[in-house]
Amino acid sequence: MRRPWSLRLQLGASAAVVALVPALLVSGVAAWLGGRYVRDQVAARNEGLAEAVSGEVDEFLQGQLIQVEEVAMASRHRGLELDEVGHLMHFNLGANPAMQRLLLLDRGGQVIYGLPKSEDLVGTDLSGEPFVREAVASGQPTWSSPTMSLSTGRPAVSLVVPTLGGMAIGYLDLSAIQEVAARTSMARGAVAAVVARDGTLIAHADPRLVAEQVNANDVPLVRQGLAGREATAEFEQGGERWLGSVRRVPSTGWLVMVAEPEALAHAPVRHLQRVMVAAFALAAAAAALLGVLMARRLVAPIEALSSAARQVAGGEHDRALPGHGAASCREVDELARSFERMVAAVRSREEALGRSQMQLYHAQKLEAVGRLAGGVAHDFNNLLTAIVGFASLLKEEMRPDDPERGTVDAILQSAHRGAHLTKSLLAYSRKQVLQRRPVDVAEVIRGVERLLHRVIGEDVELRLELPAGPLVAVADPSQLEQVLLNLCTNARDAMPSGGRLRIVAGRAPATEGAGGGPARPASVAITVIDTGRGMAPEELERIFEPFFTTKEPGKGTGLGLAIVYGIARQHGGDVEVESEPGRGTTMRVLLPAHEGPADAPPAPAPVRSAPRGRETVLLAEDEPLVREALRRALAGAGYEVIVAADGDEAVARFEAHRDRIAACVLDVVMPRRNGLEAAEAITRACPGLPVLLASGYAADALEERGLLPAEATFITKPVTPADLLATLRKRLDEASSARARPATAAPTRR
Amino acid sequence: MRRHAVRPVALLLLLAAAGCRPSQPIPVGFVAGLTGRHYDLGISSRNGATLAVEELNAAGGVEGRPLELRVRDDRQDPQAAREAVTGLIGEGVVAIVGHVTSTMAVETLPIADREHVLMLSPTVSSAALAGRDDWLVTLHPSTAVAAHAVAAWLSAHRPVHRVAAIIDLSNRAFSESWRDQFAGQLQEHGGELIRSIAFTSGEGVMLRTPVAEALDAQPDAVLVIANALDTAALCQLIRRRSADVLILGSDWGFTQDVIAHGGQAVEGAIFTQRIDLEAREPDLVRFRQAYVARFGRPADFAAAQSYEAVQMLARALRRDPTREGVRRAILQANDYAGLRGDLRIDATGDAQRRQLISTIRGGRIMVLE
Repeated sequence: MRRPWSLRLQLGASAAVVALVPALLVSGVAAWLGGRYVRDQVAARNEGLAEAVSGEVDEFLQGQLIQVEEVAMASRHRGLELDEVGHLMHFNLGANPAMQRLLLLDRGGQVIYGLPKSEDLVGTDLSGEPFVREAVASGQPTWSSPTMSLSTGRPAVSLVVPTLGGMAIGYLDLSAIQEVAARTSMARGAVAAVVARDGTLIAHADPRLVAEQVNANDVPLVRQGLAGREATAEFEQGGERWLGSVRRVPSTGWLVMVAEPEALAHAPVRHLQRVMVAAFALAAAAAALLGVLMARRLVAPIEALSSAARQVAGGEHDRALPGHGAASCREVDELARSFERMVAAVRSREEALGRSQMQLYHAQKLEAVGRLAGGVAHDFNNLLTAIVGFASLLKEEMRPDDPERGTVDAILQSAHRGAHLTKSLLAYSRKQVLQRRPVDVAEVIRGVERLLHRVIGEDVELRLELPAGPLVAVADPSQLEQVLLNLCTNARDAMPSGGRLRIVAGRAPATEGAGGGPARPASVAITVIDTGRGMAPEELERIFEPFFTTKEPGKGTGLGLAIVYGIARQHGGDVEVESEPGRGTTMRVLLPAHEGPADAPPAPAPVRSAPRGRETVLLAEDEPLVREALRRALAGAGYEVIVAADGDEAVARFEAHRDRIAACVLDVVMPRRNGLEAAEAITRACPGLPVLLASGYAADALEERGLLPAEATFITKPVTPADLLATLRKRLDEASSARARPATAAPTRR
Repeated sequence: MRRHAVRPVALLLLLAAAGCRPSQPIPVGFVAGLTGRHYDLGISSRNGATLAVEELNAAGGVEGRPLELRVRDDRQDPQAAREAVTGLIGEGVVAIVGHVTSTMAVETLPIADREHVLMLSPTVSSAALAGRDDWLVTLHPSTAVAAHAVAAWLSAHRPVHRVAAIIDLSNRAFSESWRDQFAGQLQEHGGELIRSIAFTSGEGVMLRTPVAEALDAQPDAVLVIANALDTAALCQLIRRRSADVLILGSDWGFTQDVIAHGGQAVEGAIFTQRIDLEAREPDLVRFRQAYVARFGRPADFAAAQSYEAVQMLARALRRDPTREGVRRAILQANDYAGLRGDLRIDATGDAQRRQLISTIRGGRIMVLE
């Protein structure tokens, strides 16, 4: 593709063109007008000269005519004798150098008298001469065609004046006309010529042409003149262009032409044109120079901007831009400002992009860790379910004074700690089951204030800055409490020598992702601000990683902030942190705000003794140890237990004993057919049948997929025998009371 | 820098000029007496040649090249004639149209022979120049032919026995040739040239004397060999002295001028004529009209034959545009038959065409035979 011209070149060329085109036009028009003016002047001059020459020639001819007429008049006078006429003729010949000969003719055209006298003359028959014949026919004075005189070698013409008794003829030498033509031609290089009616030259600036009787009929202007048109025109002759005028000589119909070579006529125009060309060249040079200077001045700031843009494109965002004041014009100044704003925006977006990339990196890392943790937690919960189940059964079978009872308690305690750890991992990896509802966050904070006081100890001053009105977010309050607890524990650990801890709650308005950051909905912000030692940037980058801790070994698991982050993200929120070494840390948890009122908190469950029952329960669990622990717990509580090792078997067993089975306890993750599918089949066959689904894994995914049947209740692994029995009893009791009000308690699917 | 800029521009201009330049013209010489005593033939010849060149050039010239007629005046002066011919040859003309009088041709033919430049004469007809292998081609048949025709016509229609001749020695080669050829032919037909009086045309010459001398011999006829003006004047003088003597004129003096200046005196005079300008052949009619349109006067035989000479030359140039080639083409191809279609050039470059006997009746030329 053709590379476009540079702006400097285009501007320079444009300026030059803008300057030169009018100059060229003005020069052209002036030259044209000048040419026309000069042409008109020359034409007028030629016309004047032609008129003057014509007048002079005619005057000469009229003078000759008068003399011949005198002779003619004298000859017809009755009393006048030939000698007396001869006297007059002699006088006229003597007084008129142009008159070469005078003859008197009789009616037949024969010479009867002539001067100068010649023996051959008298008796000569001139009746054959065309001009004589014409005069005889017309009775008017008649001019012959000019001829070349054999005696003088110069043009001559004959004039015949008829009288009653004959005619008088004068032979005239036309040298006088040649002199007029030569004199006129001398003026300014013009050429004057007199042309006979047949086109033969009678007089011309070049006498040789006259002597050789050159015929000028090939000159267009002469042709026009001979055709009767007195004209002024340009024509070409002898390879040269001429400007000439023709006028007729009234007496004879001859033509006078005055012409001037165009080169000569237009000499002033040519001079004017040369001056104009020089002026134009000067103007062109000046315009080009000005154009270049102007272009340089205009383009310099743009080039500086362009250079800056290249550097910015190369990553030099801190590149100083050319000053606005130095700009060549307002538009360029505006461009510079816009460019500056654009660079700032780019810089800001690049920073935001960097942050986003970092966040994405963290998110991916956390996601990976979360998946791992979730997987581990699932298997671990199964193990813990078995341990807790068997340990609980063992403890129940022991006597109160059994010396090994402490050992079993230790097993149970360890299993509970393990369960807590698993729960933390699930929280972090956002796989735990959330009980979300609209809650007043301020209320939640106030609810844990006493607990927090205990956690942070005496040396740290706790200050709550909460709004007077409700601050509603959709959240799991127990998880919120966990978040506050973890944040405060962290803050306390950062302030070993005491300090001040502020918990501020409020609204954070929605953002539109300005500066390249992601958009954020209107949120409720819980900000925990400590006056602790703060963190270095490299610590900040890693604080949400599980098991990352700056605390001494044994003082923390490294899961506190990871859990906070996990909970916040699982709620659709985020966590922001600002910290500098020695200047404390500010942690801000953002949760999606809710516009409606908060739900009322559920009534606390009544404390119950371990419930028992006699119904038949279908238990499906693929892990044999867990299956056995749960079977024994159920059987120990009086229930009849039918076991199955996978989903298909569970459905088959249910079909076989559906009349007896009052409830089902199904593991979610099972081979062949999972617990959800089995529950689906069972509740389809027997709507309203209580189903307990147990899993060490998150239920969120199930909920989101909408697969958890209405009749199902989810219980989290590790399942303690007490929790299992309590939940089972509750569902059995609800089902039996529902059966008592069949009209109103028909089960519905969610 | 400036020089570099100028050079290509100059080169372009040169190329443009070369591209625009018309084809190089072919120079053709013309020499005749344009001034002096016999200018009438010279002017007519030049006009005829000019018309032919203008027509040829208007039609695209010869093989795209225009002809350029370079006109010289021999002033009927041998020295001027030699200078004119030498000058034209030096200028590189491909051929020369001219002269119009035999005397001048006799003077310059040796130059043409030496330089191998063809001379195409429209009117030269001296028998002394005929039948020779030279560089002269004539379009006017030899005086011998004219003399023979007149003698034969006289014998058949108007027998004469005693003839006196008045001849102009300013064109001696023609005049004497004509007279001698006629005398011989006359004798063969039983007649006799009883007297020959010579004069030299020029200012102040007294023509009364030769006329008186001629008529004193009591001739049946007076043979006048002179140009048209002198022929007219001589006829006037003869008629004043004798109303019935027969006047015979040569083709040299047989133009419109002899009618204009001769008046009643030339009525009934017998002339030889080579081309009947009143004839009806299309080429001749067209030529006649074009000539009048261009020069404002009627063409005479000199104009017509000069026109023919240039046309003949153009045809030859188309065959071979060199000096030798032109001569060869005319003598060998011989493919131009003139305005009436009756012209042939023989192997020695002499014209063959019908010989006419004419007279003047009522101020007009009438062909008798």
